Amino acid sequence: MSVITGKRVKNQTAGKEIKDRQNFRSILVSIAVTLFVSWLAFVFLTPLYELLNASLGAASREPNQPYGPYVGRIFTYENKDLSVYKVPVNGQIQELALIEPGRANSVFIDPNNPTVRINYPGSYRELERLWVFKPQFKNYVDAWNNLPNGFARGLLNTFLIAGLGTLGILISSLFTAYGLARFNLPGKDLMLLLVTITFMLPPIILFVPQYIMFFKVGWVGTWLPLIVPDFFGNGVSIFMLRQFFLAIPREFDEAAKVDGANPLQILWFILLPLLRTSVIAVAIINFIIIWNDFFNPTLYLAGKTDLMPLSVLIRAFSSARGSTDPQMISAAAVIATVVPMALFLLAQKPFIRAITMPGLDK
Amino acid sequence: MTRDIKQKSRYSGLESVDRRWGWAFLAPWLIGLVVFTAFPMLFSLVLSFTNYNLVPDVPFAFIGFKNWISLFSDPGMRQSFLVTMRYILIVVPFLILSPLFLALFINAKPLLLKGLFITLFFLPTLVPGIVTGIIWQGSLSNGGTISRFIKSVGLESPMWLSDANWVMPAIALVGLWSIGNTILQMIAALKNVPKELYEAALIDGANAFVSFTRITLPLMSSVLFFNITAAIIYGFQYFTISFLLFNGQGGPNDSALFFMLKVFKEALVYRNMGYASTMSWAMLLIILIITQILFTLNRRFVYYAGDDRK
Repeated sequence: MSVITGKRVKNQTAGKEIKDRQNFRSILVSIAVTLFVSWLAFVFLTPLYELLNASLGAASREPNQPYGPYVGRIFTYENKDLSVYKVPVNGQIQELALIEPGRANSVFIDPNNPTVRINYPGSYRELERLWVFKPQFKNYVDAWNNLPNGFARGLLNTFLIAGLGTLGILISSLFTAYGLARFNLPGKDLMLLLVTITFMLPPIILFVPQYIMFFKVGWVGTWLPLIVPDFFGNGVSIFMLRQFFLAIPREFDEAAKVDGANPLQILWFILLPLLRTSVIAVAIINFIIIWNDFFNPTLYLAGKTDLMPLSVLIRAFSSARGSTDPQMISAAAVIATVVPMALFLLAQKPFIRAITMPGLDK
Repeated sequence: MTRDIKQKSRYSGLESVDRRWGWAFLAPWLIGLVVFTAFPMLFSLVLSFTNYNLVPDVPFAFIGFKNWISLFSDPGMRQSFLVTMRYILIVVPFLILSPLFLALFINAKPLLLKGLFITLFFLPTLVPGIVTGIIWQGSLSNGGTISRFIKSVGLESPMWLSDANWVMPAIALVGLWSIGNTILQMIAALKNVPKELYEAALIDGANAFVSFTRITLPLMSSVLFFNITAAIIYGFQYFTISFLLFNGQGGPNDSALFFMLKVFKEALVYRNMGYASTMSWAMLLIILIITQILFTLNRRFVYYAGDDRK
């Protein structure tokens, strides 16, 4: 009896050991996979990090200057800004400030004891400068002040164009999606097909004739071509919103109808509150698309710097000053990027759900 | 009896009121469909047979198939077609395989912090095109991040943006950066694969590779197909990034003279709207043919869950 019990106990410990070992192994695998994916994510995000770095860096780089927000260390002596170098003195490296640069002979002083002049037999150019980490936040102020017509104007333009366009898409697409989802109209299937065709239709076929149309009515050089078409529905948004409407049982409509609500009231008071997060997601997706759009503003706002959104303005700025002030361009680019990212992070869940909605891929 | 009829007529009265509401809701979209889509398409089809030019001193004339014929003799047109084909052959596979690879890792059971990684891999997709252009023009330039990295490994860095042979790889690299949407769709597709299938395969002695090729891939084929089709159609209209990388030009030896850039220049620089319309219609026809071919393949190879088509 006791033997049997002992065996069972032994077996149990063995089982526990195996389980522990398996747990241990799966933890190791988890860590390894997570580390590998972290590394991939790090590589993936390096360009963004570099942009941020560049936006905080100095205007011009010396050959040995590290990339990013580093500037040469400066020692101010008798109202003069002196660069600090690593100087070998008597076999020891000392951090000294250059006071008299020369090709054959350079004179340094010790920042701790500036009155003593130290001679270095050689060119200061052979020596390494000392760099300090010092983010240049003023690049953002400079970019803000130097963008043609001012950054504030560009930012406002972008907000207005994206805001009005999103509003238009939302209103018109909600109405259309509601009409297609809830009313038994003749030709409904054909219209649904047309919605699908409009969003599959390559925009390339439309841009030439639309440009001519807008040119002829005098809209080129205004915001109208960027905004007005949005008030007449947007294929993808109609499609997505219709799916959302279909997911709500019709009983909700019927109940409100019995209470005497008209279709507009049903939409506003019953359906929209139910769809709030989905509608916000569709709005954010469209806002980001318009915010990031480069093609249409290039087409319709060429030469009109006072009307341009950031995307086009930054390009104009970059062609004009990109070679002399890359740090300012980077700062402007960071500001233009922050808005879509913040919107995404705010509404990440519904945003992802809308993008991966089943049915979009069929 | 009379009551019955009365009720019925009242009912159909409500129905027609409902219909009027329905049409009212659809009206803006229907108007837009005519004004901003149908009419422009027909208009540009007509223009493709004219020499219509926005410069006023060119007299307007119908010129028959002259534009359509010059498509075949125009060297720029041939070049842009070749560039687009190169894009489809070189860049598109990367745009499908790397999101698949990443999605498999993100969806893998042992991975911790899945949500965080989804966010991180999606972030570059949110970067405006102009910023992507600026970042990568810098990274790919001589002394940029990429070439510094390659040199640090001890290799010679190619001249990404000025060597015609390296233009497409450069574009693939930039494209790889904005694959967030595809990653999300592939993760969603992977999640939809029923777990029981893998368990059954495991019992049958299938290894990971076999269950990937026999279960995962077939069940993901609809998403893969959708993304391949979308990437090819998008390839024909690829514009913003190459426009920004090559400063609005066709790149070294016109190796980045994408189709859209050609149409853009014809329309906006030369203002030759007739020929630009011909080019866009030609491209639409090519896209239609390719989609038709892809859809035929789709019917043969792609599996749809809950599909009632037999």
